[in-house]
Amino acid sequence: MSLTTVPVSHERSAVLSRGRANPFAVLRHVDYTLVIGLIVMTIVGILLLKGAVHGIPSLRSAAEKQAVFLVVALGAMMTACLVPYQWLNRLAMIVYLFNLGALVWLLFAGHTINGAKRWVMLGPVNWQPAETMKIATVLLCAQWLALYPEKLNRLSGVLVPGVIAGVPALLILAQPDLGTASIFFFLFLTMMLMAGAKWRHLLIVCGGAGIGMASALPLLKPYQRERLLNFINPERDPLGTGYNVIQSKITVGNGGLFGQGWGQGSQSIHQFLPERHTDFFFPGAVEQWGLVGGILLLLGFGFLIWRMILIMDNARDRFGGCVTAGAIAILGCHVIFNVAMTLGMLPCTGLPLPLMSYGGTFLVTTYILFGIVLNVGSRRFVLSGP
Amino acid sequence: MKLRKPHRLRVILFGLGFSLLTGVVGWRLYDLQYLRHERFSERSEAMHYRHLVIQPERGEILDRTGRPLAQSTGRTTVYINPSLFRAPTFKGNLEELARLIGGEIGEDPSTIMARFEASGTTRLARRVRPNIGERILRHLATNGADSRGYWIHRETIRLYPARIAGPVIGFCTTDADGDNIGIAGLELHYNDILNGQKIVSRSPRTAMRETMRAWQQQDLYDARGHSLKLTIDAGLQEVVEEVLEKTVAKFRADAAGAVVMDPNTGAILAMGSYPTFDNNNFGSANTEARRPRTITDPFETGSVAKLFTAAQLVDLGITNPDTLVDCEGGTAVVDRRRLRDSGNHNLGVVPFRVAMRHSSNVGIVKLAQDLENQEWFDFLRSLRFGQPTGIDLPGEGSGILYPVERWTRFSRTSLPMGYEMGLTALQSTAAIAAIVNGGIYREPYLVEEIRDSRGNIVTRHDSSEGHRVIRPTSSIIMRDLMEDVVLHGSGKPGQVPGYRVGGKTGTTRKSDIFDRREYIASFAGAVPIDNPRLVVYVYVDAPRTAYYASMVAAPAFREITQAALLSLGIPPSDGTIPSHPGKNVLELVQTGDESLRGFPDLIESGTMPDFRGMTMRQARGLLPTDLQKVRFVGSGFVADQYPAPGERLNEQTEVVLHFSPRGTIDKPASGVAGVAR
Repeated sequence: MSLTTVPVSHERSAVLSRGRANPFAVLRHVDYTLVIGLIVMTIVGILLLKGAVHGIPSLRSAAEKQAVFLVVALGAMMTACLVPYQWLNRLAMIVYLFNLGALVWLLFAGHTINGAKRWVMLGPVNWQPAETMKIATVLLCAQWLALYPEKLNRLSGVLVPGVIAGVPALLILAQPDLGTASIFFFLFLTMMLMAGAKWRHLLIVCGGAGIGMASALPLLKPYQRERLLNFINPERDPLGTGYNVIQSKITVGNGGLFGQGWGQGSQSIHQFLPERHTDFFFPGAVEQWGLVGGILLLLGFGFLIWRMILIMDNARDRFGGCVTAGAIAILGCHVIFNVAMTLGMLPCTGLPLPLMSYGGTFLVTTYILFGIVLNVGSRRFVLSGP
Repeated sequence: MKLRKPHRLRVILFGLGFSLLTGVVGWRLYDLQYLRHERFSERSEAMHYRHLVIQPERGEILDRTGRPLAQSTGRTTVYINPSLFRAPTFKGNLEELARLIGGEIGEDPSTIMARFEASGTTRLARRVRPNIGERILRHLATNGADSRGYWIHRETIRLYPARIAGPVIGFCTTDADGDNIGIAGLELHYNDILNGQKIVSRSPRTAMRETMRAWQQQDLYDARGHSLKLTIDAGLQEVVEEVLEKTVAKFRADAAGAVVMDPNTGAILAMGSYPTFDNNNFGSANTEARRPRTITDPFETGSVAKLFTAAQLVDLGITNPDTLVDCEGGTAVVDRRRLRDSGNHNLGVVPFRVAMRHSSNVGIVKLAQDLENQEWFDFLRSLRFGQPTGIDLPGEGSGILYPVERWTRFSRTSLPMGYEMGLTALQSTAAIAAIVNGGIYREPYLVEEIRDSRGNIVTRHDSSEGHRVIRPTSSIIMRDLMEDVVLHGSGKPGQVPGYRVGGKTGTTRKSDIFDRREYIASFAGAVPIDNPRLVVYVYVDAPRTAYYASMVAAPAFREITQAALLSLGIPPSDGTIPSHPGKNVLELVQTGDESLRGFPDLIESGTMPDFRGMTMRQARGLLPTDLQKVRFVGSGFVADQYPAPGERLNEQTEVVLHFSPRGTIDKPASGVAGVAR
């Protein structure tokens, strides 16, 4: 049963109520299976990263740095897990508005890196508002869905969360970052689905999005149009925009059944695989560990999603369930989109692979998201609430 | 708070949807990594490694004494793009560069300066020695030139330091990869052996820059092609070419050719023709000069062929030297055809020996009428007439010998005296060798040994093969007849002092030219005739100031034979002191050689070479050109020299070379005028 209060016995709730005095008491109910799964996946990612950047001087210490990021991320996850549940509710609007401001600011004053305005430079740390915005959007949508469940019966009720997700999506689209923008669409869709929106409303939303996409085609920037055309036939410009996906596919194919061995991926070593530490992490990984390793990685992500679905299903309240649904959508979309892009099944739009791609901000935000999910999960027995 | 009913179906649908998407991605992974693995694997291999086919250095061609006749050496061509390399930071001294290049390739520095002003890509220095190329690059690089503005092309070029035997040795062109490919002569025939195995080098490369793993010098050195050691004696070949050139000039002839062969093995000691060409510059030679005419051009040999007729008559027992034949005063009708003897010996009934001595057409034709057609043809065929001798050169001609069915009414009267049958000079030489060596036909050959890069012998020519053409006793009778010709008959001018010579002259009117009287004068001889070590065949095509073989070809034969006897160290038949044993040609290479001029990196100059045993021409070329005082005394071969070999030379050194006909000191040392020893 989703997004509804779990009926719990009074004995258990009494025990748990006592725990409220101690903020760390919730740690007893954390889904450690999910935590271990997360950490294993991240460490596997660090190992594969080490193997993928083997022999490339500029990325010599990427894996070590990623390990440091993991420590930071674990801290962030713990914080997000321990934060009292209702704080999240209160924070949602503030975080959302702050990020929205950052996105608007980026659009007018941001530095262009690799053709897009995505990064806010904060001294040693580079902050990507789009990443934190995902969390804020999930929280805010969940809050609205929890407050006005009955409004979902009308199409107008669906439109409010649509605006909450749509405004940042459009701002991100303007950066331009099609990949991240599409995540917003899917997290909105997933949350609506789980919150119980009517099927016909969902169909209308999908249809509207489809019509919007089609009518936006002529507005696409030339490089985006190129990407689309090259997605359809990468070989039309093998050394230009089609280069990445061709090399990515070669890398995957080169891996074979059991891979070339850890640190032995020749496409990585010979530096034909671009962005092997970020967006094209997956091909570099399956080149080392082959089809077997690739399937195991997919199963690993599937396992994490499954654990999150369990949390969603057992969430104490509607808010928690909706937040978890959004988190599932974010993680699932990232994994599926990233892998599909590297396999040449989707146009390359620059989405990293969660938990594995090199990058501090992304790792920390992913862990914060998991922290929130664990927070939801660990308080599933607590009856008292706002 | 009003709650909606649970939507477990939606959770399940979501889970299924996600699983489905994961499954699709997984299938794609299976497709790429398993089903199409081979294709991608090959594609990545092709990208990751540069497969370079390296042609190792081509092997050398050496003469029988080890003197190099063909060598490979590296050359570098420097290209520049002036507008690129003359970046603002460039501080190089272009005039210094121009002087360096000008000095190397012999061009005026000002013309080279002009290349620095060219608008586009320009060849700055063509085929300079690698160290010069390196110096140019270093100068550009250390003075801040933009590296996009200059580059070099390295190649291997083929040098022919001896500049002899052009048509025999042949030449190479450079293929698209900059490797040498033989396209004529021995260079063509032994191309694969000389080039050796190509090395496939697999060097890793990255998407950004090449990381070439250089081949170890030793690897390449060991992979060099095999070298050929020829039967040719370079010194003798030089003499042959000199004599032919002189003869053609003297008689205003069209061409001339000569073959010197060891009749006991088939080894070709010298094979020359005129006109000839310098292989280093084959592009400027015409086909007349490039053709190895001694193996390609058949002609009617005339009276020389009487030896073949005589050999068969003797071998069949039809004739012996004392058999009487009626020469009918020099003119007779045989088989409805009127024959005339040349000269006016008016021979009557004479022994066969005398008929041969004076080359009587009537005599030999009358005797030959006892031969049966097929038997006759088979004998000529066994001498490899009408088919290639099998020498290891490309493009050998078959000559002309008609099968019996195609013989005409005149064949039986033409063939005995060398008409209606075209032979190349080599066919004639090899056949005469078979007749005098005891009756065994041995295939002529040019390559004595094939050695690998470390000098181990890979193949050595086997001279034991051969087929018998006449009996040994017949061969001895033929020697006797041939010596008679030289002692008493038309071959007298072919006599070599101190040696017993056997030979035969031949003067042929060229039948294919009707409006002019043109002849081919030839002389074939063997020496020493009692135990032949050399067969020498000389012919002169279309001599104009004289045409009798005895006047035109015999003197050339004598000169070549003398030189050949000297260079092989064959002792005189009359027991005089043996001549000097021939120069050590290896020394010649070590000290430098005139033919190496223009390739200064091969020369180690500054010391006095060992001239002893050289001809005047060789010595002249070998002397450093900046010497102020050089004296040549006498003629023949260098017998003595001052300073002694190996001494330091400077411009003021007075060099005196004393020549004697045999290269030995047969005069007192004081004959070297004005030099205190």
